[in-house]
Amino acid sequence: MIDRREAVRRISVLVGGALCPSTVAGLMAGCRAPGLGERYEPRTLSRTQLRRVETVAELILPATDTPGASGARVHEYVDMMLSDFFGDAERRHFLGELEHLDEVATSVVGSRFDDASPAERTLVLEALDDEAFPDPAVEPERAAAVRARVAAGEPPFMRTMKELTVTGYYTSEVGQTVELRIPPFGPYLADEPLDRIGRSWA
Amino acid sequence: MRPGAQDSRTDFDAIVVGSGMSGGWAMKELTEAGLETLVLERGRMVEHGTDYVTEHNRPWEMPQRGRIPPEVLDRDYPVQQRTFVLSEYTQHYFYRDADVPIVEEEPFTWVQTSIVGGRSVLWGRQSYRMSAMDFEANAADGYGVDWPVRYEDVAPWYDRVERAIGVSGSVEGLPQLPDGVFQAPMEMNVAEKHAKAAIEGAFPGRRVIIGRTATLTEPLDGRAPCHYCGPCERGCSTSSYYSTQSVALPAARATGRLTLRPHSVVHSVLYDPSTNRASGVRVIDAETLEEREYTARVVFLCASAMGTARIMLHSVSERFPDGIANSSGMVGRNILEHHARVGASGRLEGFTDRYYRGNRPNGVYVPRFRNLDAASRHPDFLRGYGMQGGASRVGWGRGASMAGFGASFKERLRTPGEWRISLQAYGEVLPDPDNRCTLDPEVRDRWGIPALRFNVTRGENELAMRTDMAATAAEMLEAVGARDVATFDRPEVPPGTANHEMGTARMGRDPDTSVLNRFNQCHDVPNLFVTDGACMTSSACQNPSLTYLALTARACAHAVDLLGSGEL
Repeated sequence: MIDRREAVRRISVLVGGALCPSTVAGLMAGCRAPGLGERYEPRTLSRTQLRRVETVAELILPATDTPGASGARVHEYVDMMLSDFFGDAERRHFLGELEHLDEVATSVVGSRFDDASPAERTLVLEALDDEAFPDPAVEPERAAAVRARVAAGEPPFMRTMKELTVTGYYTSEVGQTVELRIPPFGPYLADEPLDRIGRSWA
Repeated sequence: MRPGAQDSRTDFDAIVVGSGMSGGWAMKELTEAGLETLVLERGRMVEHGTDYVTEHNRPWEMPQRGRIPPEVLDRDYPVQQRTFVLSEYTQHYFYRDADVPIVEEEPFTWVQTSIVGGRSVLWGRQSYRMSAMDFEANAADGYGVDWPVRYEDVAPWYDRVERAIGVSGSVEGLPQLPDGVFQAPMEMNVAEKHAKAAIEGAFPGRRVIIGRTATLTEPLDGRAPCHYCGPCERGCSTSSYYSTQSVALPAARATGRLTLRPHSVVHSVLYDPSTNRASGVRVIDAETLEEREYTARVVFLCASAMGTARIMLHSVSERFPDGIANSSGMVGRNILEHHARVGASGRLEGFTDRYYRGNRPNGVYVPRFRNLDAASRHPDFLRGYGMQGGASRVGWGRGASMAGFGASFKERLRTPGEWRISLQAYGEVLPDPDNRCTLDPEVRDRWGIPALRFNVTRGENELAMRTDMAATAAEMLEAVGARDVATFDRPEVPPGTANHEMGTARMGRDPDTSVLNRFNQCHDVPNLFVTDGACMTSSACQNPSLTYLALTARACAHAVDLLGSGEL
């Protein structure tokens, strides 16, 4: 999030310096993030489920030289989405798949998901990712089957989980300002070498 | 609104109903010409800058990351959700549908905003002149009635408006899309430049130009050029695009002759049979439901094509039992719009080392190339279409459908993906008196005014045109070298969804078949003017707002002349 001083500076540059106080107040109204409490109270997920979502999201987008999904509180975003955006059937299906992780883990690595080591969890997720994203050029029949499951409202777990994780992460402050970049206000540069910009725009 | 004694004033030189695209322009022209002007707006006040409360918000600063839950959309915005500009960022500019219901005998989209400035705050800003051919189209093929004006009548008014609002664009010398008074054009990105060269090389007669947009690329009258933040529809505190708030309202306020009343729902136009004039309007206070009457020497209806038709139909008297100035029976008929949601998209290989900086609020435009002359005549349909589109690199969103996870997955999303290119067509529709709205006998809005009942369908000409639109979009992208080109065609998306609805009180030469004369005066009631989309005699295929502004400016000058000469 840009801070108040930086926002005023950017806007002042644009309009040539003079801004009435009410204009600044209006501009600033957008710079207050909704408070993220120290301890998030989940609305749909249980605490155990919230932790599991956090674990899986962090496996999908881990901390590297920038924070990962956990640092961007993607698990809280997932809880919001499940609460406000998912229909009942969709939500039930997702929560069922989340529990089903234990069965998958047992068959792949011989223990429950939460008891598995980080390396084992990665193996479990590889199995689930393979189930959800077959290459249509290599396995057209499996790819068609996945499409049918998506259309029926029963997508493989990693389809939904990855979409939620990616969207939650790259719309977060961490995702947009630390991992990616927000285009600075200023002229449009129509043809820039990618090297000079370096990263994808948020 | 001015405080104190002025608030109790009820008599003015002019009343303007509506403060959006055309009402905003009318308030500017009339006050600058010296008229004490009352502007009535049913929505709430939105002050420039201070009330654009989400302007530069990022998604994490919004409770739901900028989106509205499907359950809320279906409950509160069953109609409004069809416009892509409705989001958590702009929700505060829209009515809930239950407050402003419509009856869809056939599906129809009427986007209704709840604010001063109306759709001038939310518009797409694309600004194109209609051409000589467009003003002659009805006369040429016999659909609808002839426009009572020609391009040369409107051209000086386009000049005037473009100078004042600021339109950026390129000079092209195309007869079907006349050049105007332009600021420097925005630039195409590397993929769009490639597409332009390939399409113009493969298809003589087709052109790819940068969009002409009412967004500044140079300073103008104290307004800053665009800073390319992207989401214009939330409002722009640097005044970089034209809206009522950025240009018209400050100009009108500066004259000292403006009285702006938000929360003022116009119930009907008052008619005085002894003078055959509109004597004023009846207003319902949106908050207290108190009724008031205001009087003036001229009344301008600028409440949007549908809003104006509704007011006219609801203004009944002994002389006009079917609505004021409706002796022709044409009020509410001949609904026009642009049919869209048809085109093609594909991916472009190459240019992987090229990128861009900034969110350019504009795309490329393919001016009409069908039925311009004998050589370009299409056997299956009349009139034509233009296309809007652009190329960009795919961002992080592709991650949702990408195999893999972990550090390498994250690393891949750190840089942009491949280029994608798309073209979407906007087509002209033929005037048809059976495409109409009427007052519903039962459904009323929250102020007790009858809702509009819509019966609008698309005809064979539009459907035949759509087949060609998808095919030409695809063949142009193929010529560019795009891969996996896929066409799309959503004829089921209701008429009106392109947000360009018009035609409900058309201009014409004959009072028996049209509502307005060549100066937007009602044939029946000479001091009643209609200058919003209702006046349009044909739709052309260009985005219409610039034409509404030009016709409004022209009508205002005429009204001022008539008042000066004592004819009104």
